[in-house]
Amino acid sequence: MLRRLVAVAFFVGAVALGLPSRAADPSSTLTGMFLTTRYPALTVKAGETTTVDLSLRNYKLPPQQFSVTVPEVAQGWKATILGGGQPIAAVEVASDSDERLQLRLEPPSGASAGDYHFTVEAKGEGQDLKLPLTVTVGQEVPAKLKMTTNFPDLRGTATTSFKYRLTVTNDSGRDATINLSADAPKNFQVTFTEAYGSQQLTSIPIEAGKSKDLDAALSIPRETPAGDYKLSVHAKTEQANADLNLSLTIIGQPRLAVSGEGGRLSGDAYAGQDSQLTVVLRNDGSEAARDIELSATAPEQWKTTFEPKTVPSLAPNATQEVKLTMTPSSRAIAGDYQMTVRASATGGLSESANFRVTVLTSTLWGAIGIAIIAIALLVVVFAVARFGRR
Amino acid sequence: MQSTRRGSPWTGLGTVIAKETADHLSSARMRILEALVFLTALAAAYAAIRSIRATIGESPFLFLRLLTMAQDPLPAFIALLGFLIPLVAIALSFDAVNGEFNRRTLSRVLAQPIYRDALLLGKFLAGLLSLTIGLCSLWLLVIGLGLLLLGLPPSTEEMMRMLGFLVATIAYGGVWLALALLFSVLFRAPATAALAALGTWLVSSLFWSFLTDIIAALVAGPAEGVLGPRLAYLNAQQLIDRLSPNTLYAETALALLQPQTRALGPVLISQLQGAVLGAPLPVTQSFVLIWPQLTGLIAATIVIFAIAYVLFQRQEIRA
Repeated sequence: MLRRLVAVAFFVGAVALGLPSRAADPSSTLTGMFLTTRYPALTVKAGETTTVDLSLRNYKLPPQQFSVTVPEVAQGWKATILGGGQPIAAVEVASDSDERLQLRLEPPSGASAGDYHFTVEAKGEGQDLKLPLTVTVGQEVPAKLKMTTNFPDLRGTATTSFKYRLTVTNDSGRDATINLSADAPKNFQVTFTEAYGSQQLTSIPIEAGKSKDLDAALSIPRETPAGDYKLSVHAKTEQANADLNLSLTIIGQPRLAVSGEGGRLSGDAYAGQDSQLTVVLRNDGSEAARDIELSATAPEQWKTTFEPKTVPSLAPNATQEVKLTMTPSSRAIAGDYQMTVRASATGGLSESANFRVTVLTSTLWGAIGIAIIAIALLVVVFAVARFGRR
Repeated sequence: MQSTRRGSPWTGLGTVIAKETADHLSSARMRILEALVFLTALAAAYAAIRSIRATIGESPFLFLRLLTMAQDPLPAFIALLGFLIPLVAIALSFDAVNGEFNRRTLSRVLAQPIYRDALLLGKFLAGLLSLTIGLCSLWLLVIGLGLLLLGLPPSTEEMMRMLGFLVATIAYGGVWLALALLFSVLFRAPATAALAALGTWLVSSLFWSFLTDIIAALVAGPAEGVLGPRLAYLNAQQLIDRLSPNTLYAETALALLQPQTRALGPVLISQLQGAVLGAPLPVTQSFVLIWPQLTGLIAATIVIFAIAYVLFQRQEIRA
């Protein structure tokens, strides 16, 4: 019972689906031969060979042979019928099928703007099909270039690598080679590369109506002071040009350098005694460094203190001397030791320098050694005095 | 019993030194010893130079390598000196006093206006002078050989280190000279004195390291503790080891001729933290490092001489 119900439902559904498609098919009622084209009137560029697609269709007739000619050709133009890529004169169309042909139109050199008329004729047994065509030679689209970018304002520090993504569009009617150039502040350097490429470019060919993505990379000196900078990039062909104004905001950045007095990174210290070492802090950046804290990594049991311990602020290009007092362990062995002096400022800034400290031991033992020799000599003198004989 | 003496006890010292030095320098014994030392030491230095030329391109202490580098089959120059110098010193003075006794010349010499003081000191200084002359010429020969074959002059620091090494070598020779002199006062037979001195030399140069291990273990307990080597044992071992002049001389030569030597005793790991290893020590610091050893050698020479002096003064010399 259930199975029968399902079968009935299926049948009804199939009929409901099948009926409209059969009713909508126009070829069921149409018979005869037709020569057609999609665009019977079209505009072409001056001096350009045009190809027009033609279609010869046989609806419900036995296979037929047609000779194809172009009886009406505009003055000076050359018209050729092509089928399967070759010039043809006749075509055989099977029942219920179509043959695709092309009409190639070659204008004479210097054809002026205006309308030109052509007629294609297909002649068969008792049938004469005619297809009039109108070709308009139009004015050339004026040359036009367009350059755009999504992000014209970039921001960063003097060490950031800046990159603008540019889109250059050739809106003119013909292919063009576009020369690229830029106006940037002094010592800024702009290099153009293909998008995602690494090859530097000075010019790039773009087909008519197409666009290309470019990268304009900017390298700037590390010493560039903070501020806003303007630059413009230019795309240029012989007929047209496009400009794009870009801007750049450089934010200041402190940069610390740690060294010794006069660049010397070494010093002497006596074991168990205080000795001084001068550490020079310098800010090479473009903004003041704040809250600089100094610390030293010295061997165990060494004491190190800085005076001052922190530097509240250090202006760009300013230097600050810090006195480092270090006390090597009294049991330190003479010789060279490595000590790292680190300066850290707000903003994750941290810079360090390795100092080589030569530990000297006291020469007190030298005096004691001489005293021992003196005592030995005194013993001899005493012996001479005590045991000397006449 | 004793009457005060007239004049300086050192009257006639110059005469004794001059005569004894002349005797030493013209004796066949001295020539044989000098030939032995010169030939072996020069061969060692020459082998070191050849090896330096073949292997070392650049080194701030090239001249010092000349003295410390060993090339098979010869030991290094300093090792040869450490071994042979006691032999020369003993040979120079093992029969200094008892030889005079046996030739019955002592009373004849002392009949001259020369005190015993001057005689003994003169004999010692003459031996030291002969040794110094020999060592200085050897030292200059090696430097000359280095100049000739390496083709570059030693730096000031190298010269200071090598001079210190020369002084230490002479002091080391002085210890053995004084010891042989002591034995020559102590024993009437020169053969006994020579045997006693050579025995001491053999013990201190060959067997002392075994003896130190045994004595240190007796004094300070076993060498290895639960956590590794024991510091007390190491310190005791080093203390006993340094009673031997050979050890003192070897440490002095090592610290002076290898500038990267920073310590001569046991070193704690915590003392090495942050140390730049292989960096040479300044020359003054090297001298500070070996100053106890050097003064120890010199003081030992003087003390042994003082003992010999006292014994000699109390001896009956009429024969």
